[in-house]
Formats: sequence, structure tokens, C-alpha cells
Amino acid sequence: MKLFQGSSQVSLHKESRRPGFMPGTRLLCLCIAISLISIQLYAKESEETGLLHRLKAVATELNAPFVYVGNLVTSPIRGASKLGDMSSASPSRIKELEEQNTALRRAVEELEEYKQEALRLQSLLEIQSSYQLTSQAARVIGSSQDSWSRTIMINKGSAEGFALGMPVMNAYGLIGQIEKLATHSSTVRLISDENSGVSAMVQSSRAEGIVRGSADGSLRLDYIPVDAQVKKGDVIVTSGMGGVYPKGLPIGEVVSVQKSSAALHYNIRVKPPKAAMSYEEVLVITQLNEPGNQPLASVQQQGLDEQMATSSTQDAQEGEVVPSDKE
Amino acid sequence: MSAINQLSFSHTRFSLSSIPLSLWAFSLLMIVAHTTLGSQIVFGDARVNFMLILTLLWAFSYGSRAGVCVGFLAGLIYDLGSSTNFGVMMLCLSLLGFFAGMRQIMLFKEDIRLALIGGVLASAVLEALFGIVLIATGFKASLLSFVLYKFLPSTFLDLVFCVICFFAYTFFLGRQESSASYKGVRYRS
Repeated sequence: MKLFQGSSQVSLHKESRRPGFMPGTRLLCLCIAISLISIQLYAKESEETGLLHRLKAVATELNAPFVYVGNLVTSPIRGASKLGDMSSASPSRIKELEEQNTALRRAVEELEEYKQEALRLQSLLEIQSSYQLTSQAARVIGSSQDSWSRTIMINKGSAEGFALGMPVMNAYGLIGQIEKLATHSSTVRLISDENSGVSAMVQSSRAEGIVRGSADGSLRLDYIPVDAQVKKGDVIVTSGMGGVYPKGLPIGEVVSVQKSSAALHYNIRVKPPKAAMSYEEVLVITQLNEPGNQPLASVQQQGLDEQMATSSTQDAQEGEVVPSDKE
Repeated sequence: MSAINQLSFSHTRFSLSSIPLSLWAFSLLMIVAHTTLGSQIVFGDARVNFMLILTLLWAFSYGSRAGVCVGFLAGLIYDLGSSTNFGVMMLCLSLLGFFAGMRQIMLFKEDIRLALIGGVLASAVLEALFGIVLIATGFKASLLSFVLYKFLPSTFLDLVFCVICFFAYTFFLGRQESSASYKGVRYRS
């Protein structure tokens, strides 16, 4: 087999090139044109019916088994690193955790009592609990393939009744929202993604704002006015405004509250529970059973909550889901 | 069929059958690595861009035209699996493939050091270009967070894998050539 044809042909071809043009210039122009058209088309088209979005959904579907295999292959390494973390816990830390566990057990028992009381009162008043959610469990099979987004891939999709925009939570609270949907897999954009935004409130003072992701993975709570009561350690929960996320799902707790001299709003950092950052199984909320709420599949038309990040300050303070240009 | 087989890339004409088996194997390996391990190898928040390495392998071996072609296709694969705007990586890798292939062909045979320097530069340029295009198309990120959390870790990870893959590719290319020479086939660059 002749593998390379020799330098004489190379030099001949060099001479026959048109002066002033690098080889491949036309091809490059064509590729740039196609790319720019794709970028424009992707931004303009509908998330459900758009050609490129559907193409991405098909690719996600085809990609899912490979991602699953990759996850499987690397799981022993991840398991070993977790084992390392566990074995490195000091005796004092273990004691501290045991004490915390006992305290939490007591709190759970106490809360169970309150729950029973609340249920009795609710049945008296004939109102439904706001925590009656219809959800489906799904397994996390991979995370984002690029450095610029924080997403995870789960092993269920439209065939299981999932729809775009459905909220996703784990045992510790809210983690994100379905962003891309395929037949048997979905991509969830995490709330820690820079382009995410969740309507939230401070549990103790009920002050409302928007929780947004940031590049370092932490969360920040925006639009909390300086006259509101917020302190370190306060729990942040979803406010339920807009009907996309159910009310009262924990998001994290306040780790710092800062206020600039002439600022109208606090600069608040929120930290999600550490255990919430390791995703293995998640719950996708398919329906909010609050009075007057419709199934989430129809709520999806209101668009992803991340688009709230583009909303104006005034709208954000009112806690509305602001429609974006994509809707 | 013969027309398809007789492609003209950059400074040289060659048939598809003349492309060494190791390049095809590495291309396939890069695509499989991207789809399976792409999301698993993490440094900070950064992921390895195997599609960049694939583009550079072709651009450094067969010049600008091959670089643009493979860059565009590699960008397409990346964009289909990513959550960022569709078309951005296609644009960036096409541009990078073009400029990476301008220097000279058969870089891995000529001078591996040049290929490594090219890989380092290309990693930095790609991450910067990708970030700029993303921000220009509406991605929200501050300059500081872009540099600290995206650009630096991504560039570092790309660079490390570029070096590993380039050395491995050169090693296998060398082995394949010595094996072919033994069978009586002569290579010239």
C-alpha cells in the first residue's frame, strides 16, 4: 500500500495554488457561515419543536448509553475516593456527627407530631397539603460534557411522562430543572449553573428574592431588600412563585450577608447542603398537587425558570416568572 | 467512489487510504473518550475537550483543509452533547483547525516539540475563543469568574491531555511506520 506520495507532488501542488488564498479558506468560510446560522437558528427556534433542539435530543438519546458506560467504568474510582474521605474522618468529627444525628432524630420525632397536627387541621379546613407532590425517581447517569454548564443526565425522559421545565430534587432539596428532553433520558440544569434562577425566599423572614448559580458553584440570593431580616444560617426555600417549583423546597442556607453602603439589596451567599452535591438518584416532580395547580407538563409552556435570570429587578422582587424571548 | 477517495488536503494530495491507521484509531478513540469519559474527567469544573485534540491531530498531520473539516465535525459532535449554544464549538474548532494546519504538515513526524507547543497555544486559544463567543451570544459570566473557574482549569486539563495524546500518537505512528518499513513500504514526508 502506498502511504505517502512523495515531495514532488507536494511542491507541484504548492505552485498550482491561487496566490493570496490559504488552502481551505473557502471551506473555512463555509463552515463559519454554517456555524453562525446554527447559532442564530438555535437561539431563535422553539425548544420543543425546533430542528436543532430535536437534533440535540436525538443525540442525547444516542449518547446516553455511552455516558452510562463511562459512569460505570469510573464508578470504582469515585467509590474509592469516597472511601478515602470516610476513612479520613477524625474521631471527634464522628462524635460530632453522632450528636448531630441524635438531635436530628429528636427533631424529626417532634416534626412528625407537628405534621400529624397539621394534617388534622388541614382535613378540618379541607385544604390539601402543599407537599403532596407527584414525582418519579430517576438515576443520574452522567454530568455535563463541557466546562461551561452544570448539568446532569438522568435515565428517564418523555416516555416516562417527563416534560421540559419539570423541577428535580434529591433528598436534600431542589437541585434543578429539566432542560433537555429525549425519549429515555433527560438533561437537568442544576441550580448552581450560572444561567439558572429560582424564585426563593428566606424561610424565617419570608423575604423573597432569586437564587442564582455562580461560576464557583456557590449560590447567591439576589434582590433581598436591605430592610429585610436575613442572617447567617437562615434557610432558603423555594417561594413557589410562578408555579414551576413547588413552595417550600429547601435550597440551602445563608453563609454570608453583605451590604454595600448605598445598595438597595443585600449581597447574600447561599450554600447548598454538602451531601446535596453528590447526585446519584433524583426525584422529578411531575405534578404539583396544590389547589388550582395544573400538571407540570402544561406549566412547561411558561419556560425554564432559568430565564428568570434575565428578568428585571422589579419583576424579580414581585416574584413572578418573567417570560423571556425564548418562550 | 474514486473521487471521494481522492481528497485534496492543504499542501498535499493524498488518498483516504493513505491516512495511517493510527490516525483513524486515535480519531475513534477521541470520539469514544469524549462520549464516555468526557463528563467524568473533571478538574475543578473543567472537562477535557477531546474534540480539540482530535482536530489538532488532523490539522497538524494534514494541514488547514483537514483541520477545518475535522474541526467542524468535531465541533458538531461536541455541540450535540453539550448544554451550551449549538454551533459555538463548531465555529471555534473550524477556526482553530484552519490556523493550526497553517504551520506545516506532518508535524508529528517532523518535530513533536512544535506539535506540543502548538497544542499548548491551541488549548488556551480555544478556551478563550469559546468563552468569548459564548459570552457574546448571551452566556452570563463575569470576566474574573471566566478566567478563574473556566479558562484556567479548562486550559490546564486540555493541555495535559494534549501532551499525553500527542506522545501516544507519535509513539504509535512511529511503531506503525517501522512495522510498514519492515514490510517494504517506504515513507517520506
